[in-house]
Amino acid sequence: MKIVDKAKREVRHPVAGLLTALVAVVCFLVVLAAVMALTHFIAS
Amino acid sequence: MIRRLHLSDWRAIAHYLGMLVLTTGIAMLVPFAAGLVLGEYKAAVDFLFAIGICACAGGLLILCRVERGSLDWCQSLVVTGLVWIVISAVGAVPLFLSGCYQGYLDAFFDAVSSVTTTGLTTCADVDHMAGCMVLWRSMMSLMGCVGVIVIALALGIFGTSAAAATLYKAEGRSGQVMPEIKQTSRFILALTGVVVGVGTVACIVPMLMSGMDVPSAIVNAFIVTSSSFSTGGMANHSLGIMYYHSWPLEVMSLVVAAFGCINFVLFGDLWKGKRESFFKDIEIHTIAIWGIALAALMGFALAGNQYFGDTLAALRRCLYVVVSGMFNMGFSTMYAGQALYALGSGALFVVVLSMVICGSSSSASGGIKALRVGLIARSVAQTIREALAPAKACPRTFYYHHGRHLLGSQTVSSAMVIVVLYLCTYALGAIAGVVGGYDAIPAIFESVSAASNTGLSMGIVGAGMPQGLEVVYIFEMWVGRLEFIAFFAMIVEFFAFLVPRKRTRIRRRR
Repeated sequence: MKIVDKAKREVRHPVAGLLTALVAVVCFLVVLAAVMALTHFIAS
Repeated sequence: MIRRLHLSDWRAIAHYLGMLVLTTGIAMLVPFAAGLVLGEYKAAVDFLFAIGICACAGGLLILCRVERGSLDWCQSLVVTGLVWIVISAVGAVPLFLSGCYQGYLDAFFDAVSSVTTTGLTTCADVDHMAGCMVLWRSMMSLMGCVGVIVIALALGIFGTSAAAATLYKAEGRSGQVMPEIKQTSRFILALTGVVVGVGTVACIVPMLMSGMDVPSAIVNAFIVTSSSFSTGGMANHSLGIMYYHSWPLEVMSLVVAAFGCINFVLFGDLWKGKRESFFKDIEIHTIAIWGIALAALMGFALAGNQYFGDTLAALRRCLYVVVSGMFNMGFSTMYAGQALYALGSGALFVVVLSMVICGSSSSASGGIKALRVGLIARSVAQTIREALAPAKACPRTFYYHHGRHLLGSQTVSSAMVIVVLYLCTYALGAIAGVVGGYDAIPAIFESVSAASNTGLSMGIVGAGMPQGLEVVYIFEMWVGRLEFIAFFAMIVEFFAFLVPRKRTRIRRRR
């Protein structure tokens, strides 16, 4: 979904913006879980 | 030189505070209506009484000055400093009348904890609290998360005058999504609505799958989502997130909390399609590095831990607690006292570390903030570069935060000052806990949790805790949320007002 602000000629992406943040957060959590599991495996 | 506030200045401050108290009274109409719908008539009457108090107190304060006028920087700082306490004081009235607390101080503690998005509670029996009271605690958390003044600005209560801009900056908000403060405030409010709405719908599914009926699933999903996004962690069950026994719900609460601890202005960048601005930001880099470091440390600290039996269960529960601390949320997958003997001192230290820094500036989270840590880390790199550079070279360090900026000594020193003040507050609360008769580890844990507005607990905070310690934690939650500057400005202005001005004698030459 795109919203064009004609006054400022800016294209806005409300849905794509939130989805980008969502994907980034989920990837971050997966990385954290992987790092924790890996270090735990190495330490034990 | 300190600008002394005169009586007329205090009248202007009272006028604006009165408007915010009236706004709080209007917000109480929602739990009042919920009480009527749910058939909780006693609780609805409590809210009606509190609305009356808000109307009277707010009206009297507004009458201190008839003309609205505009606020200058000093007045705005004092309004920002006082508004959290004033709103907590009136917000505590229905909680106190509910009979779920041992006294007004306990109810006030919970109100401060809600408004500052901390999540510590002194309620003895949350499970039997009226639904509209639980809703009010969640609403206070959301008000604190968005910012009381931002809500007032979005609703147009302060108009579009210069006062609006000064109040916005005084609340610790930096950067604007839109050219006007009112538009930016509305964007923050709309973002909160969208995230909480979508999160609630997503959380309903695992609740229905666990056998909950539809109305209960909707109410519980809203409370979990709003508590996660506001990073408040105020639950409607004493077990918190553990009540649901659902790992999808735990994951969703972490995702929503992550949204809450990201700078609202960065969402604006994403909204405008500027993805590189989001991923280049110093705060995002700092949070990512800090999170990975904490996860690695926790993995090492759990080596040899036999308490949980199953390794996967240990990793799941401990990762949740660390990420909850890092995102400043306060939900836990362990009982209050369990962490002390289940984790061991190493893992407990990692949890304390996770609470120290927390999320971004201009977000719902508290603590030192990733921006300050990132700036200090960059200044260390700058110092090393200067030491290694040739004599005539002048290396410069840049950082990206709402645009590319040159790292200056003034920026680093102001970040350092706030970091030192946070560390002193953590130490002060820990000393108070030890003086109160508690062991050092729980005292440090609870103090960091209160001052960073996280809300994880090791069991010190609760019904019947020492009142002196309760006051110390209220102070910590308050100054932690204000990030000190507004608090110190308010104290200095207050004493400057009380101390009589020195009269200068003018000798006339004859």
